[in-house]
Amino acid sequence: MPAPASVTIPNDTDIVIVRTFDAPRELVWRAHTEPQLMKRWMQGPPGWTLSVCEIDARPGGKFRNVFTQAGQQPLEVRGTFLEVDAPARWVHTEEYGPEGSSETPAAVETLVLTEKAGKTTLTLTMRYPSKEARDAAGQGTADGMEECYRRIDVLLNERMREPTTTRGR
Amino acid sequence: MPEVIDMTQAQRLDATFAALADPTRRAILARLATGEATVSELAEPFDISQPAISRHLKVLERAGLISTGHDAQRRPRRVEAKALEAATDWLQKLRDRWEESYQRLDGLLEEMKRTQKE
Repeated sequence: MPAPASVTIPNDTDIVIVRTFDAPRELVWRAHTEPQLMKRWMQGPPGWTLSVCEIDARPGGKFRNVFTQAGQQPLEVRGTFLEVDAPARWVHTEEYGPEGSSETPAAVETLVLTEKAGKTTLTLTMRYPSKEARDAAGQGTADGMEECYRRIDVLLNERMREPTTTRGR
Repeated sequence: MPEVIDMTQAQRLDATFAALADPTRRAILARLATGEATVSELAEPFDISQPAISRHLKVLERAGLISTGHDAQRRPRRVEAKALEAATDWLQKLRDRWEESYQRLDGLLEEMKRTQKE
Protein backbone atom coordinates (compact mmCIF):
# COMPACT_ATOMS: atom_id res chain seq x y z
CA MET A 1 0.00 0.00 0.00
CA PRO A 2 1.58 3.33 -1.04
CA ALA A 3 2.30 5.94 1.66
CA PRO A 4 -0.56 8.39 2.22
CA ALA A 5 -0.60 11.70 0.35
CA SER A 6 1.30 14.60 1.87
CA VAL A 7 -0.37 18.01 1.73
CA THR A 8 1.77 21.05 2.51
CA ILE A 9 1.70 24.85 2.19
CA PRO A 10 5.35 25.67 1.32
CA ASN A 11 4.66 29.38 0.81
CA ASP A 12 1.81 31.90 0.96
CA THR A 13 -0.03 30.99 -2.23
CA ASP A 14 0.39 27.26 -2.85
CA ILE A 15 -1.07 23.99 -1.71
CA VAL A 16 1.16 21.08 -2.74
CA ILE A 17 0.04 17.46 -2.78
CA VAL A 18 2.60 14.67 -3.21
CA ARG A 19 1.62 11.02 -3.61
CA THR A 20 3.42 7.98 -5.00
CA PHE A 21 1.58 5.30 -6.99
CA ASP A 22 2.70 1.76 -7.64
CA ALA A 23 2.28 2.09 -11.42
CA PRO A 24 4.10 3.54 -14.44
CA ARG A 25 3.35 7.20 -15.10
CA GLU A 26 1.72 6.45 -18.45
CA LEU A 27 -1.16 4.84 -16.52
CA VAL A 28 -1.33 7.62 -13.90
CA TRP A 29 -1.43 10.13 -16.75
CA ARG A 30 -4.27 8.28 -18.47
CA ALA A 31 -6.21 8.15 -15.19
CA HIS A 32 -5.94 11.97 -15.08
CA THR A 33 -6.79 12.69 -18.71
CA GLU A 34 -9.34 10.07 -19.86
CA PRO A 35 -12.84 10.95 -18.62
CA GLN A 36 -14.11 7.38 -18.21
CA LEU A 37 -11.07 6.65 -15.99
CA MET A 38 -11.33 9.95 -14.07
CA LYS A 39 -14.93 9.10 -13.17
CA ARG A 40 -13.76 5.87 -11.54
CA TRP A 41 -11.66 7.55 -8.85
CA MET A 42 -12.39 11.27 -8.71
CA GLN A 43 -15.74 11.32 -6.98
CA GLY A 44 -15.84 14.46 -4.88
CA PRO A 45 -17.04 14.40 -1.29
CA PRO A 46 -19.16 11.51 0.04
CA GLY A 47 -22.53 11.42 -1.71
CA TRP A 48 -21.36 13.38 -4.75
CA THR A 49 -20.73 11.85 -8.19
CA LEU A 50 -18.56 13.15 -10.99
CA SER A 51 -21.32 12.90 -13.58
CA VAL A 52 -19.87 15.07 -16.36
CA CYS A 53 -16.16 14.89 -17.17
CA GLU A 54 -14.78 16.44 -20.35
CA ILE A 55 -11.02 16.75 -20.85
CA ASP A 56 -9.22 18.07 -23.89
CA ALA A 57 -5.64 17.74 -22.64
CA ARG A 58 -3.68 19.84 -25.13
CA PRO A 59 -2.47 23.44 -24.94
CA GLY A 60 -5.53 25.71 -25.19
CA GLY A 61 -7.87 22.73 -24.64
CA LYS A 62 -10.54 22.88 -21.96
CA PHE A 63 -11.79 20.63 -19.22
CA ARG A 64 -15.08 20.60 -17.37
CA ASN A 65 -16.10 18.50 -14.38
CA VAL A 66 -19.61 18.56 -12.95
CA PHE A 67 -20.27 16.96 -9.58
CA THR A 68 -23.87 16.14 -8.73
CA GLN A 69 -25.89 15.00 -5.77
CA ALA A 70 -29.67 14.43 -5.73
CA GLY A 71 -31.54 17.55 -4.66
CA GLN A 72 -28.43 19.77 -4.79
CA GLN A 73 -27.23 22.43 -7.19
CA PRO A 74 -24.57 20.81 -9.44
CA LEU A 75 -20.97 21.85 -8.78
CA GLU A 76 -18.93 22.78 -11.83
CA VAL A 77 -15.14 23.02 -12.06
CA ARG A 78 -13.57 23.97 -15.37
CA GLY A 79 -10.47 25.47 -16.88
CA THR A 80 -8.08 25.77 -19.80
CA PHE A 81 -4.85 23.84 -20.32
CA LEU A 82 -1.87 26.19 -20.57
CA GLU A 83 0.83 23.52 -20.99
CA VAL A 84 0.61 19.80 -21.76
CA ASP A 85 3.61 17.48 -21.97
CA ALA A 86 2.21 13.92 -21.85
CA PRO A 87 2.78 11.87 -19.72
CA ALA A 88 4.92 14.16 -17.55
CA ARG A 89 3.20 17.45 -16.91
CA TRP A 90 0.20 19.65 -17.40
CA VAL A 91 -0.69 23.15 -16.24
CA HIS A 92 -4.28 24.38 -16.30
CA THR A 93 -6.36 27.21 -14.93
CA GLU A 94 -9.22 26.42 -12.62
CA GLU A 95 -12.51 28.24 -12.39
CA TYR A 96 -15.75 27.50 -10.58
CA GLY A 97 -19.31 27.71 -11.76
CA PRO A 98 -20.69 27.69 -15.31
CA GLU A 99 -18.83 29.26 -18.24
CA GLY A 100 -18.72 33.04 -18.04
CA SER A 101 -19.44 33.21 -14.31
CA SER A 102 -15.91 34.28 -13.37
CA GLU A 103 -13.41 36.37 -15.30
CA THR A 104 -10.17 35.56 -13.49
CA PRO A 105 -9.09 31.98 -12.73
CA ALA A 106 -9.50 30.94 -9.10
CA ALA A 107 -6.27 28.94 -9.27
CA VAL A 108 -3.59 27.50 -11.54
CA GLU A 109 -2.91 23.79 -11.14
CA THR A 110 0.33 22.10 -12.13
CA LEU A 111 0.56 18.31 -12.28
CA VAL A 112 4.02 16.73 -12.51
CA LEU A 113 4.55 12.96 -12.81
CA THR A 114 7.99 11.41 -12.38
CA GLU A 115 8.68 7.70 -12.71
CA LYS A 116 11.31 5.67 -10.90
CA ALA A 117 11.57 1.86 -10.88
CA GLY A 118 8.00 1.47 -12.09
CA LYS A 119 6.56 3.80 -9.44
CA THR A 120 5.15 7.24 -10.17
CA THR A 121 5.40 10.25 -7.92
CA LEU A 122 2.67 12.80 -8.47
CA THR A 123 3.15 16.41 -7.42
CA LEU A 124 0.04 18.56 -7.71
CA THR A 125 0.56 22.27 -7.04
CA MET A 126 -2.49 24.50 -6.67
CA ARG A 127 -1.49 28.16 -6.84
CA TYR A 128 -3.94 30.86 -5.72
CA PRO A 129 -3.78 34.60 -6.39
CA SER A 130 -3.32 35.41 -2.69
CA LYS A 131 -2.78 33.89 0.71
CA GLU A 132 -6.38 34.74 1.63
CA ALA A 133 -7.71 32.96 -1.45
CA ARG A 134 -5.48 29.96 -0.76
CA ASP A 135 -6.53 29.61 2.86
CA ALA A 136 -10.21 30.11 2.01
CA ALA A 137 -10.04 27.49 -0.76
CA GLY A 138 -8.12 25.07 1.46
CA GLN A 139 -10.53 25.43 4.31
CA GLY A 140 -13.49 25.30 1.94
CA THR A 141 -12.36 22.05 0.34
CA ALA A 142 -11.59 20.60 3.74
CA ASP A 143 -15.04 21.53 5.03
CA GLY A 144 -16.58 19.85 2.03
CA MET A 145 -17.00 20.85 -1.54
CA GLU A 146 -20.66 21.69 -1.01
CA GLU A 147 -19.64 24.29 1.56
CA CYS A 148 -17.01 25.65 -0.82
CA TYR A 149 -19.54 25.99 -3.61
CA ARG A 150 -22.18 27.38 -1.33
CA ARG A 151 -19.77 30.22 -0.59
CA ILE A 152 -19.06 30.74 -4.28
CA ASP A 153 -22.81 30.75 -4.98
CA VAL A 154 -23.35 33.44 -2.38
CA LEU A 155 -20.51 35.46 -3.89
CA LEU A 156 -21.81 35.09 -7.44
CA ASN A 157 -25.36 35.98 -6.40
CA GLU A 158 -24.05 39.09 -4.71
CA ARG A 159 -22.15 40.07 -7.83
CA MET A 160 -25.12 39.45 -10.09
CA ARG A 161 -27.35 41.49 -7.82
CA GLU A 162 -24.96 44.47 -7.74
CA PRO A 163 -25.72 46.03 -11.16
CA THR A 164 -29.50 45.86 -10.57
CA THR A 165 -29.30 47.50 -7.16
CA THR A 166 -27.03 50.29 -8.37
CA ARG A 167 -29.35 50.92 -11.27
CA GLY A 168 -32.18 51.04 -8.74
CA ARG A 169 -35.00 50.13 -11.05
CA MET B 1 -5.25 42.07 23.72
CA PRO B 2 -7.92 43.60 21.47
CA GLU B 3 -6.02 42.69 18.28
CA VAL B 4 -6.46 39.00 19.05
CA ILE B 5 -10.21 39.37 19.51
CA ASP B 6 -10.61 41.46 16.36
CA MET B 7 -8.81 38.95 14.12
CA THR B 8 -10.92 36.95 11.71
CA GLN B 9 -10.42 33.21 11.62
CA ALA B 10 -8.30 33.52 8.46
CA GLN B 11 -6.09 36.23 10.00
CA ARG B 12 -5.75 34.12 13.10
CA LEU B 13 -4.61 31.17 10.98
CA ASP B 14 -2.09 33.40 9.19
CA ALA B 15 -0.67 34.52 12.53
CA THR B 16 -0.52 30.92 13.66
CA PHE B 17 1.37 29.75 10.58
CA ALA B 18 3.76 32.73 10.75
CA ALA B 19 4.44 31.94 14.39
CA LEU B 20 5.08 28.28 13.59
CA ALA B 21 7.46 29.11 10.73
CA ASP B 22 10.33 29.81 13.17
CA PRO B 23 12.35 26.84 14.54
CA THR B 24 13.03 28.50 17.93
CA ARG B 25 9.33 29.16 18.40
CA ARG B 26 8.52 25.56 17.51
CA ALA B 27 11.11 24.41 20.06
CA ILE B 28 9.52 26.69 22.68
CA LEU B 29 6.12 25.20 21.89
CA ALA B 30 7.53 21.68 22.12
CA ARG B 31 8.95 22.56 25.56
CA LEU B 32 5.64 24.09 26.69
CA ALA B 33 3.76 21.02 25.48
CA THR B 34 5.42 19.14 28.36
CA GLY B 35 4.13 21.67 30.92
CA GLU B 36 4.05 25.41 31.71
CA ALA B 37 7.34 27.29 32.16
CA THR B 38 8.61 30.78 33.02
CA VAL B 39 10.65 32.97 30.65
CA SER B 40 13.91 32.15 32.44
CA GLU B 41 13.11 28.44 32.41
CA LEU B 42 12.41 28.68 28.71
CA ALA B 43 15.59 30.67 27.99
CA GLU B 44 17.80 28.09 29.72
CA PRO B 45 18.04 25.39 27.04
CA PHE B 46 18.33 27.95 24.22
CA ASP B 47 21.46 29.88 23.43
CA ILE B 48 19.62 33.21 23.28
CA SER B 49 18.88 36.05 25.65
CA GLN B 50 15.74 36.37 27.76
CA PRO B 51 14.60 39.48 25.81
CA ALA B 52 14.87 37.45 22.58
CA ILE B 53 12.83 34.65 24.16
CA SER B 54 10.29 37.25 25.29
CA ARG B 55 9.95 38.49 21.72
CA HIS B 56 9.29 34.97 20.47
CA LEU B 57 6.75 34.48 23.27
CA LYS B 58 4.97 37.65 22.23
CA VAL B 59 4.60 36.34 18.65
CA LEU B 60 3.31 33.00 19.95
CA GLU B 61 0.89 34.73 22.29
CA ARG B 62 -0.45 37.04 19.58
CA ALA B 63 -1.09 33.97 17.41
CA GLY B 64 -3.09 32.54 20.30
CA LEU B 65 -0.71 29.56 20.56
CA ILE B 66 0.28 30.24 24.18
CA SER B 67 -1.11 32.17 27.12
CA THR B 68 0.30 33.63 30.33
CA GLY B 69 -0.75 32.17 33.68
CA HIS B 70 -2.22 34.26 36.50
CA ASP B 71 0.80 34.03 38.82
CA ALA B 72 1.96 37.69 38.49
CA GLN B 73 5.51 36.99 39.74
CA ARG B 74 6.40 33.92 37.72
CA ARG B 75 4.17 34.67 34.71
CA PRO B 76 4.31 31.07 33.48
CA ARG B 77 3.53 30.48 29.82
CA ARG B 78 1.44 27.53 28.68
CA VAL B 79 0.39 26.12 25.37
CA GLU B 80 -3.11 26.74 23.95
CA ALA B 81 -3.92 23.46 22.25
CA LYS B 82 -7.02 24.80 20.44
CA ALA B 83 -5.14 27.25 18.18
CA LEU B 84 -2.69 24.54 17.20
CA GLU B 85 -5.58 22.26 16.24
CA ALA B 86 -7.19 24.93 14.05
CA ALA B 87 -3.90 25.41 12.17
CA THR B 88 -3.47 21.77 11.26
CA ASP B 89 -7.14 20.97 10.92
CA TRP B 90 -7.84 22.00 7.32
CA LEU B 91 -4.56 20.62 5.96
CA GLN B 92 -5.33 17.32 7.66
CA LYS B 93 -8.90 17.25 6.30
CA LEU B 94 -7.69 18.19 2.85
CA ARG B 95 -5.18 15.35 2.97
CA ASP B 96 -7.89 12.88 4.03
CA ARG B 97 -10.11 13.94 1.12
CA TRP B 98 -7.36 13.55 -1.47
CA GLU B 99 -6.13 10.32 0.07
CA GLU B 100 -9.63 8.87 -0.21
CA SER B 101 -9.65 9.58 -3.96
CA TYR B 102 -6.06 8.39 -4.41
CA GLN B 103 -6.87 5.06 -2.76
CA ARG B 104 -9.58 4.57 -5.38
CA LEU B 105 -6.95 5.48 -7.98
CA ASP B 106 -4.60 2.82 -6.52
CA GLY B 107 -7.30 0.24 -7.20
CA LEU B 108 -7.91 1.50 -10.71
CA LEU B 109 -4.16 1.47 -11.51
CA GLU B 110 -3.88 -2.15 -10.33
CA GLU B 111 -6.71 -3.02 -12.70
CA MET B 112 -5.07 -1.10 -15.56
CA LYS B 113 -1.75 -2.89 -14.96
CA ARG B 114 -3.51 -6.28 -15.16
CA THR B 115 -5.31 -5.37 -18.40
CA GLN B 116 -2.03 -4.15 -19.89
CA LYS B 117 -0.34 -7.50 -19.22
CA GLU B 118 -3.11 -9.52 -20.86
